[in-house]
Amino acid sequence: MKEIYNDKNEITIPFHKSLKENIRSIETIFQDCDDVVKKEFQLNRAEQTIPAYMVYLDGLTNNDMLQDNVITPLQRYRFTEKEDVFQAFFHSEIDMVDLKEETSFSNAVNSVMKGDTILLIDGYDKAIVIASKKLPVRSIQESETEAVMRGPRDSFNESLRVCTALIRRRIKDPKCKIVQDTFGERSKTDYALVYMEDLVPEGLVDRVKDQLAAYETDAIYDSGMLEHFMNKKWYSPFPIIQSTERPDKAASSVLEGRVAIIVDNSPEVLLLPATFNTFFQASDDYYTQWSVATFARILRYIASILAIGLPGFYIAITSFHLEMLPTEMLLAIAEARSNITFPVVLEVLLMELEFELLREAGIRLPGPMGNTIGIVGGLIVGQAAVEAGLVSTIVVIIVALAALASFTIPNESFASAYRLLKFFLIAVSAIWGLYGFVLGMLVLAIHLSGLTSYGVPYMVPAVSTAEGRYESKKDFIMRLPIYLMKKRPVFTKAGQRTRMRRQ
Amino acid sequence: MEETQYRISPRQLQRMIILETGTIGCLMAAAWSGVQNGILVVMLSIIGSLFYGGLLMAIGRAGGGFFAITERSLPGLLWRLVWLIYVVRFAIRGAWILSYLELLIQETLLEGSRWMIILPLLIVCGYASLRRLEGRARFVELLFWWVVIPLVVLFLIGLWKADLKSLMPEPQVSLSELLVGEYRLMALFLPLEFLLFRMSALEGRGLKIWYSGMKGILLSGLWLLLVYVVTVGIIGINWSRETLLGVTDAMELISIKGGGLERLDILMILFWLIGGVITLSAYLFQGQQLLRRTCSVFGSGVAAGCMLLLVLIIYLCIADSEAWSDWYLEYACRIDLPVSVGLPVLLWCLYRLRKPRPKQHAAEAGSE
Repeated sequence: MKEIYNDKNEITIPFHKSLKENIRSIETIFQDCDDVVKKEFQLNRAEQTIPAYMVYLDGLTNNDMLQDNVITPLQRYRFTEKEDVFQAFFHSEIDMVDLKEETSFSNAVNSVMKGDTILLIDGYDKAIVIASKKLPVRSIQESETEAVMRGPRDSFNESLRVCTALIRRRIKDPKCKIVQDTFGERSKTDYALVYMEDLVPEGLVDRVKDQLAAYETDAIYDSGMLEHFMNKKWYSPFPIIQSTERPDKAASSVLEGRVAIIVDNSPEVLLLPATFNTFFQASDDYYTQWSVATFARILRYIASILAIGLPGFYIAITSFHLEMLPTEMLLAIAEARSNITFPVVLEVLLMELEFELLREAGIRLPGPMGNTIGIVGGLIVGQAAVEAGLVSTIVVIIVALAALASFTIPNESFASAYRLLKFFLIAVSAIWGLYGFVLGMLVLAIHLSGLTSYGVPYMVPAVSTAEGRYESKKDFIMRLPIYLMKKRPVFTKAGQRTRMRRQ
Repeated sequence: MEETQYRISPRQLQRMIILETGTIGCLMAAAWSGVQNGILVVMLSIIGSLFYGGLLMAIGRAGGGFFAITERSLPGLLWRLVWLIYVVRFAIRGAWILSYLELLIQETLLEGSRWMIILPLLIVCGYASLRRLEGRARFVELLFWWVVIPLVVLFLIGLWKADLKSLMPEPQVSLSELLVGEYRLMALFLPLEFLLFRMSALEGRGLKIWYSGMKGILLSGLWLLLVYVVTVGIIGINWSRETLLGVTDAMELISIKGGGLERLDILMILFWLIGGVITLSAYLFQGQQLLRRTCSVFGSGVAAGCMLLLVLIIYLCIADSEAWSDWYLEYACRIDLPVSVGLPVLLWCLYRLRKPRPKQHAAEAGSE
């Protein structure tokens, strides 16, 4: 085996003219691979026969197509004496689908691993690759994580080709480029960069390619893993690359000059650059009335503040600054806490822990049971905790409100950052009260203002940039009517910002 | 989008001026004006700050920036010494702000040991100082409205409660007293010195930069005036002169019916705290940058650590916050303010003298 593979796990042997040699190599490489089908047969040529050899992977290959379009025609066809057998596949009337000549042994084996079929013919030191993939794939379904009230229901699935097709279906412009490559030495996972040739900023695509080329790893199984390789700010809980299951969102991002990365076996497509604001934009914002969309957007921003800060703020006020509250409210809190023996911070942590457990259990349990556990946990356990004197009713409301608020953020990985940082604010508020709360918030503000995503400041359009400052604000906290959004956002290449003209 | 690292926009500059100069300055205006005709003093100081800021902006934009003119006109040892002087001066100002914030927080938000208060504050400011200039500008820009809107709204509400008659200037105005008061208040505008180091990092046309800079100085002056009017109008001139926390005392007396909060002063201090962090971290940032220039082997982390340590040591030299304030006012008026004008002017003159004139330059080139 050592003679076949080099240190980088690449096959180094070449094709031989002798089919027997090639078969020996194939047999060695695919030894103990019972799912690999190897078929030896004869091609008819005048009065003689030529040995040929076919290799494909059972389960990833369209067997019917192979039988009908390759094997049967080949057995019927009789090559003439003068005819070059190899070239005849490309120039004769043999009715076959997508064919490719392959001179590299390594590439030929890789093609087999991807579901294609290779055909070796005696006397030729090259192979014919027959596109015969038929990968097991989930049908196009509705997105569960990015559901919308109005708008298209289709979502990406695990097939790279389906994903690219869903984007192509929405952008019928040849300037929309789809560049494919593989990542992972052993998984050889296909990925595709999708971008608009004329809208993407100079150097962004090369930067992404260089970034990915810099790593060598065994395998990736999801776009999330690729995202980790691309994120240099490993210490930041905030994602600097957006992910989506929605083809309409991916297509609109590509048309804004962003790059979409589709990874085979992953229904989540990566979008970059990403800013804080993009994580608050839901697809249906653009399909509903602008006033309704604006209201929803404002609600999401308020919800994000509640999700991150409400428990910490409550702890700070009730533990350190009760004098801030009006007397009636003070009495209500005192009454609610009259039977509680725990300090406020422990109460809040207890309830937060319960909510996090319910959330985690809800995800892991099968569908209907997961929904049930949320209701049962929320109602029964919460009620029981209040009656047992472990937590006060106000804390239940505070924690539930914060949890509810975190679910209004349309992006899961972004919302997770909020849930995580909520505990940081709880801790600093418990130690320093409102002083700690404000310092904690400042730390977040400092961190966020220092973040950039592929050269774009993360807090755009809340902070200024050289261009597109006011245009970007039209799709910020307010989503103005579509006909007013004449310019593309700051992601787009300078000089290509106009997207709408009135005839 | 193209990279815009190390460049800041005129709008960011304007906001930095307002928050860095306005927030801490407002808190001290009533206590430091020190005369009966305080409102005239404040107005005069605003005019003075426009000239002061204008001068610093002009020097900051000359000859490729203040860094360049200093390092070109002095030999290596001397320009390093100049930067060290700036580092120490910024550290002293940082220590004063630290002591003032400690007093403010201890009196209003959190009773406890001074370490309990200053350590988290220093950590946060140190973290903020590790950003690059563009990151800092974004940070200030991001927080601008969060600080300005609540405070301005609160003070506009307070304006209704202010007794404006007590602010009227007295008929017999002593010019010397006015000028002394004006000079003392000019010490509040010392953060404008950052303009020296930022002007070369600005993007945009010269006129726009000037407009933004002057607008920022004027707005911070007007903010100072508003706070002065409300503070003195509510608590009176004598009370405001005797305490360092006159503004918070005045805020305690403001309440909004049905506002949902009993003590508005706490809310106000929280927003003021943000401004305090911005100013203190600006001194740490600039000091860190100058330390790195002075000693090129320093990384940003080490330089920030050194700057933090220096601020802490200076802060510990004077135990009491009120004593700190008295000492700082004396120091600012006698040393810091004259140096802040004199040193850049001197360096600019040296630069002009050493810079080869076009004719001389051409002659030298011809003889070669």
